[in-house]
Amino acid sequence: MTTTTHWTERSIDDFLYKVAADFVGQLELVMLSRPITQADLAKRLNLSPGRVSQIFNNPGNLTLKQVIRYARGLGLKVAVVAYDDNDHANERGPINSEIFRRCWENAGSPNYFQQLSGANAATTKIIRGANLAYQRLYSCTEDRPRKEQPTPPTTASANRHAEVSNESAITTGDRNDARIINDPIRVSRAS
Amino acid sequence: MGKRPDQGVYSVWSLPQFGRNGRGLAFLTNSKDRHCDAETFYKALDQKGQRPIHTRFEAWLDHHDDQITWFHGFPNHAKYKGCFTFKWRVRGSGQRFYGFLHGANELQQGFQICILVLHAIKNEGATDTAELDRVVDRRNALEVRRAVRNEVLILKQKGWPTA
Repeated sequence: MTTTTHWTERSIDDFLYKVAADFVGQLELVMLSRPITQADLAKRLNLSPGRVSQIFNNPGNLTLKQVIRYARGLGLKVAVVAYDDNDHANERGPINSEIFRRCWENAGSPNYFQQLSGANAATTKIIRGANLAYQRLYSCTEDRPRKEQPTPPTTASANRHAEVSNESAITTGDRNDARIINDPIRVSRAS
Repeated sequence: MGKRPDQGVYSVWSLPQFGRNGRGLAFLTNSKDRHCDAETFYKALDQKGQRPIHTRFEAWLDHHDDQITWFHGFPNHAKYKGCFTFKWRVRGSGQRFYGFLHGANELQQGFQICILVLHAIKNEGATDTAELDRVVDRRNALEVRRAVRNEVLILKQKGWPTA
């Protein structure tokens, strides 16, 4: 497959449009879920419905000030994120801002840096707890003929493991591990 | 490509810049089919006019399937299942691309291609089934199916758009 430059590389305005459109897309989803109409939002912002509609239809002229104003109108906050996705020639375009939001939520919605390291520590503890469970299972069945030896979980599978096999962690009798699975952030604060 | 007497030749043209994550986009073209106008409409747009369409294309390519304000299928409608629409607005006027999906669904391996058939202006809330009927007619036509299959084979040979 031949690589081509992404359309947002044509001009700063194109790039800006994409970023602004993704932002407006996020607002649209929030408004749909609550639900809030564009007219409702216009009232909250003391703007005409036409002005709000204009921004939603053509977000390319959004200023950072307006971005914050519209987000605040829905009770949301905004972060401007710079990142390096190793795509220096911009062949793939900007990553959708919704991906960053979901990653932040998946990390337990940290709001200060220690919580980030806490989330990592919790992941490590989950792996340790899961390994313990596997070891105990293995020792229980050691004297029986076995077809396959269970494989301990890897880092990549840790979160999925936490989601689908809470029970195995709880049966280790390690209450801390059980709590970690339920709320990594809170436990990391406590420890 | 396929041919129906007096009805021109149907071709499927994929958009190489809009293929990734197991998804791709293409236009169904036929110079004698006036309802098969999505590509003509798209190509007539300037850079600025294409921006909202590109953002919607990419949200779909990135599997942002929650973004139903930008695009959606019709999975609960037996007749129009497999049809698909991209939505945007220009100066208060609702714009639509209607087309159909071909290939694997979300749960299957392999790639999925959205073949865009026609452009329509739509300001009413309810779906205009006449547009969807046109899409279904073309999707079911033998020559269209053949053209789609040929394009998919070419894409598979190129290993695209799985990258």
